[in-house]
Amino acid sequence: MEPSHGGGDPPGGGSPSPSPEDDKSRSLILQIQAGIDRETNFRRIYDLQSQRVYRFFRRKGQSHEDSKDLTQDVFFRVSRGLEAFRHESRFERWLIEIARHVLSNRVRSRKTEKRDAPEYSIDAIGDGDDGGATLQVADPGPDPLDQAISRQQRLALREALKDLPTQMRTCCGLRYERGLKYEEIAKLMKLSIETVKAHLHQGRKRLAVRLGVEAAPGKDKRSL
Amino acid sequence: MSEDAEDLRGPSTPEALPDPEEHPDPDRLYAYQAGELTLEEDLEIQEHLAVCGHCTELLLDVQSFTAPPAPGEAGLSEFERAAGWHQLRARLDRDGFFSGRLHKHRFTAVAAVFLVAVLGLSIYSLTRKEEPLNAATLDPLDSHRGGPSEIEEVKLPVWLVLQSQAETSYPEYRAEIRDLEGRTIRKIPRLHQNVAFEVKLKLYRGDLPPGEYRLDLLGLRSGRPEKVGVYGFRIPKSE
Repeated sequence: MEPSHGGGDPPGGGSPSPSPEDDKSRSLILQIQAGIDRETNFRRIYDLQSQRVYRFFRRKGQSHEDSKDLTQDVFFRVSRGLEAFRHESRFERWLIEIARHVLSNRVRSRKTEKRDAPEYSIDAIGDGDDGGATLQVADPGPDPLDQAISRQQRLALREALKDLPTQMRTCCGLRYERGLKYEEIAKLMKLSIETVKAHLHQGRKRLAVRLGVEAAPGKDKRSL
Repeated sequence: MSEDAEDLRGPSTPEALPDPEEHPDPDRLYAYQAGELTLEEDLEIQEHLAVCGHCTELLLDVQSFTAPPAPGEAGLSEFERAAGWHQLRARLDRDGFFSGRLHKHRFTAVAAVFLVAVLGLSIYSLTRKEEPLNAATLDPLDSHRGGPSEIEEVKLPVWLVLQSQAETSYPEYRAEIRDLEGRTIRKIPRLHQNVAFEVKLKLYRGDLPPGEYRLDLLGLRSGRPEKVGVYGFRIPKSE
């Protein structure tokens, strides 16, 4: 039998829908679309939502300054798409999609910057030499054999997961396949952290048996 | 159990298996997050999450966005928010958001409507002109050739070929069509006689409703109209 759906209070679980901010934002958008006081109404939307957008970026690991910039980008994009917003879905959903898009663009451009950045010799920097040879260490990348082994292990793990009850399977999958934290799993599954831990504890034992490995006692370990 | 302990997946899941090809509709994920689904539907979503990194990420982001601030979690100060708005406002202003863009959209919409209307009219006009035309030859009602003329029945579209008994020709003709009560329905100017001394004019489908009509053919000399003949025809109801 599955553990009960609500195995405890969900920590920061599902938010009511739509939020009051969403309702207000939508009515402000309607006014903007009707050409009524665009500046004031857009400012209100910004005031209503900018904290959440900013916090979203902070929670995604962005710095304070970057989060401020990204928040600006989000609202700029909102302004560009506002006329086309059709109120068929929540404004919040649209806002999240824009925020995710803006963030992924930023991450991508950061990666490109790093890739294209010039490499300097450590010695040269130390000597104040502005030219000369560079110290370039080639990234060997993942070993193909390691990759194959890892993939085999994951396939075996996924197979083994199939034998677990649904919620236990999901908890174990999110933990061992996706690498989520207990808190994240609890939020996603709308369970308490204690319930998640119990699922993982039980699941780990069963997986160890199924995979023919020995679980380390009392530990949520990779080696089982 | 320790949160810091290593686990089955390894430290950074570099080799996660590919996501399934099918995903729940994002609206369902939002509904799941908002607690709007049944227990069975919740379980379906959770099963999918176990094997789908894409949906897991999306849902985590939704939660991250909607979660209230944790105690002690920093946000933007009033000053920062005001400064942020100031910068954003300047950017929006440059982009024309506050002033022109809406008008630009309206202008574009009006232009589009105008274009469609012109296009529609052109097509309509072309279609009309391409319609096949019958020909109906009409004699004047006061013709003395073998008794009074009958009222000819014509089906639109049609070429009306007006025979004239007049001994003189005019450099230009005008036709005026009226109903039996004498109301002028249509005037067709700039007509000319052909080498067979006929005056031809076109009537298109929809030009006249069904009924009986009289057509006055007027010859114009130095701008002055002179009656050349009166013709009669009938458009049947099917038209």
